[in-house]
Parts: sequence; C-alpha cells; structure tokens
Amino acid sequence: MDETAATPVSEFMRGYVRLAGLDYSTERLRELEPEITALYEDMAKMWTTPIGDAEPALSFAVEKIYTHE
Amino acid sequence: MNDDSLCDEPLTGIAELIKTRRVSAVEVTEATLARIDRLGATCNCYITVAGDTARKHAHALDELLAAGVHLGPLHGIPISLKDNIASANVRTTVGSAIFKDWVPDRNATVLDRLNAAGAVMIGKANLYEFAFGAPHPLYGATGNPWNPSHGCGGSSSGSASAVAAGLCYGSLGTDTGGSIRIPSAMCGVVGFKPTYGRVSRAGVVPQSANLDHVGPLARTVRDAGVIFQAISGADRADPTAINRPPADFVAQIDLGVDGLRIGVLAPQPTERLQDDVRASLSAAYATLADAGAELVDVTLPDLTEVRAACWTIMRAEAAEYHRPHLRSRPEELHPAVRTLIEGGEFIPATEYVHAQRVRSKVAEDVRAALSGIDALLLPALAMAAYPIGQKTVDLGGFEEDVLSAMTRYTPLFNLTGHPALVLPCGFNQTGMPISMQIVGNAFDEAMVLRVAHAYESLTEWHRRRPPMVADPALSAEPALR
Repeated sequence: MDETAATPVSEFMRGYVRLAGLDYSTERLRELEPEITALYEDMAKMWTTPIGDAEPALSFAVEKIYTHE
Repeated sequence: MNDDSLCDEPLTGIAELIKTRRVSAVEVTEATLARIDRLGATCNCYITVAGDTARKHAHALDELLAAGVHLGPLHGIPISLKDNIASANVRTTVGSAIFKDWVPDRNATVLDRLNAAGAVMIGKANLYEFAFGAPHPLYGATGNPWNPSHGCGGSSSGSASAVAAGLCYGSLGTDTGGSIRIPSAMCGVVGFKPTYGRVSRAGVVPQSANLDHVGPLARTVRDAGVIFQAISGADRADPTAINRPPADFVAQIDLGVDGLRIGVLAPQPTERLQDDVRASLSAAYATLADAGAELVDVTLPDLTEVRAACWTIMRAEAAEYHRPHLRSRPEELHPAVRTLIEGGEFIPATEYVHAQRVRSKVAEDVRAALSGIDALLLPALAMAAYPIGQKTVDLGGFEEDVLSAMTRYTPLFNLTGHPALVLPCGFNQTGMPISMQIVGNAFDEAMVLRVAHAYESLTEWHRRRPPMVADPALSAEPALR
C-alpha cells in the first residue's frame, strides 16, 4: 500500500493483518479498502440502537433467549 | 392424469395417490426426472440430479408398500436438497469450486429424517456459493421459472426454482438472512424458516452458526408443513436443536383466522416498496380481515438498522469458518463472495459481541411486539424478481442496490429466531410473483401455518403455474450463465 496515500482505514488494515498474521497482499488490501470502509459505516449503526443491559445472544442460550423458560 | 401433469400436483395429493397405490413411487420419480430433462437446463436449478439412486430408492419404496409398509407422509415423494446439505455418496458442492468433488460419507440429520419419512432424494439444488452473496460461475445463475432471464435471489435459488417448475415436490433450503424466504418469494412458492433450534443443522455446511436455519420450500402451505413435521426435532449432533416434545404442526391448519388477532407491520421511516407490491399486500391483508381476523398495527425496530447486526454476525462467523479457504485457495472463490468473507476478518470482537447484544435487544422487542397477537403480516420483499445481472432496483422512485433491497424484510427474524413463512399474494404487471411474510411467536409454527393456509385457501395465486410448464417451446432457451 502506498504510504503517501495512507488513510486511517488503510493504516488500520495494514497493521491489523500484520499483527494477526494474515496473508493479504498490499494490492488486495487496497481493493478491500472501500468494502471495509462501508462495513465500518454499517457497523456504526448498531451503536445507535439503545440496548440497555442486554446480554450477548450466543447460541448456547437460545432456550432462555427465545422462550424465557 | 398424464405422467407430466403428476409433477404439478401438490405433495400431499401425490402422497395419497402413492399410499393408495393408484400411482407408484417409481412412476412419480420417473415423471419428475422427465420434467427435469425438459426444463432443468432452462432453470439451471440442479447441480446434481441423483437419477439412478432416486430410481433405486423409489423401487425399494414400492416394494415396501407392496409388503404393507408405509414409511410416512413422504413415502415415495421426490424431494431436493440445497447443495450445502450433506448427502452420503452424492457430491455436495456447497456451490463452490473448492467443494466441487466433495462426496460426504454421511447424511445431514435432516436428510436422514426425510428418508425415514419415505422421501426420495432426487437431486442437489443450485445455490449461492457457500450460501452467501452470489452464484459461482462454475454452476451459474438459477433461472426463475416465471421468466428464466430473471433471477431468483438467493441463496436457496435452485430449491425455489425447482419447486416452482415442478422439478420436485418440495425442497430443503437454509436461511441465514432470508435465503429460504427471498427465493421462495421471487419464485412464487411457500418458503418456511422455522424457529431457531427447531430443526437440526448437523451436516449442513454453515454460513453463520448463530443465524443459520433449515426449512422447507413447497408449492402449498400444507406441503411445507408436512416436510417441516418430518425434519423437526431434537438432535444430539446439533447442540442448538432444542429438546421439545414432538408436536403436530398441521393438525390445526384448517381452523381459519376467524377471531384471531393479527398484527400488520406499521410503515417505517425507511420503508420503500414497489407499487405493485404495496397494492398486493394491502389486498392480502384485507382478505384476512374479511375472513374474520382482527388486524392491528404493530411497530418493530427499524429493519434497516437491525440488518447491520445481522451482517456483522454473519460475516464474522463466515470468515472464521472459511479462514482455511481464504488462506489456501482464495482465487477459487467468486470475487463478491471472497470480498464478503474477507471483510469478516476485519470485524473486531467488540463489534461482534455488540451485535450479539443488539440481537438480544431486538429479540426482546419482537417478542414484546408479538405478545397478544397470533401472527404478524409484513412484506416478504420490497420488490419482485429482477433481470439476472441487474445491480439496482427501483423501489417506488428510489434506486437501491439489489442485495440491500432483497434483505430489507427478512434478516430481523434470523436475529430473533422467530418462525417466518412467505407465500404468494399476487403478481406484478410483468407476471412475476409477489409475496407476503407471516411471522409467529417462538415455537408457534402451527399458528404460522394456520394463518398462511387460511389465506391460501381464500386465493388462487398458488394454483398458477409458470408459463414454461404449460408451453414446452418456452423451455428451449437456456438459462443465462
């Protein structure tokens, strides 16, 4: 990835794949950047939903979550 | 009744003919295989047709019946499986080049249950690669029987197309964000996503373990109910399959809606619908009101905001499952599917956990919205099927990306786990089906089937057959690949 064209997203992606040991080429990271930007914009919407003290709905708890039994 | 017309009969009708030995399982299977020969290439709905094994199985079922053994309500009935459901000794491609030669050594639990009820597995249906995003070019797009130049949506596209064209009597699909309901709606058939935990996913290649559901597609509500009955129940091989006593889901299907309290989704600020869809839904709601249902407005969380939580969970879980494929053979994935899955690798754990908390909250919201009502009515889709390759659709004057438009009304119930069924409620001006969605309280599939059957009994939409079925000349044009 071109250092002079680095954006917060590209810097995050480059650092993340290095730390996580993931094999992404510079070219592939550049291709993915718009997608990752859109993904983060989308995920930000989740934080606008008031959720109170809701617990994570992991699958081991489905009976409790869906039936309150 | 000639052999070909057998293919357009309801599953339950054919099952009765077989049970009373007025037609054999072999005759029904041969008629289905002949219909597949005639229309299968046009629809491109099968990746594998299991002709030889289906014939042998049908013959064995006829011998059993002659000996006085009737296995169950699916005895001798050709059923297809979405090709992410494992079938022993029959290849299971998952719609991917990576799995193109995979032949499982054991069946998924749901296939064992279909077999126990007497079904004949006729073939493996086309799908989006890994049930996610787009069809792989190796298998091509599925054609919509109502117009083969139009798509079926996804990801259980082959299942819906095959059911609509009479190339099987029912099919099993999977639904992670709408993948049973979307193609069923586009093809004008019944698609049923049961409550999360009601049907085992053991032996189904996961897309997203926390959101995946298995369910039936069929041409009538009763047919879908009979298949659902056969596949539901606890399973030690799937820890999410809930251990509840067996229930009869179709026993009350004929009771009608008189006296029921049925919710109708109140318009949302972000609502966009094609005009034909809006008109058909209004007429459908009025039909149920005329039949004695009390209709009440129901407010739900904003469907487009909730969708973000669904996509976060889906993409993170898909990326975790497919990491070995991303590392070893990424170039073999469809580019759009690869991008969707790779994006999941960049989702922090904090976002994933937050999505699961949003899921808890909206599940509580939906449970509260459904309390005091028997079922909820809302659109299945904002639009009807569109030409293959089209990138955007017009929703009442707004241009919207097709994937976004397709997934407007379905993912909420993958997040919350509530049972949701789609069935046809009209056709647009170009002859493509329009569908309504009916949602029930958790584990009250019987009520969903009852309301849907009541509507179906009052209308004729489900009796229409795609033009290609009646006019063999229309089958000459191959599906777009």
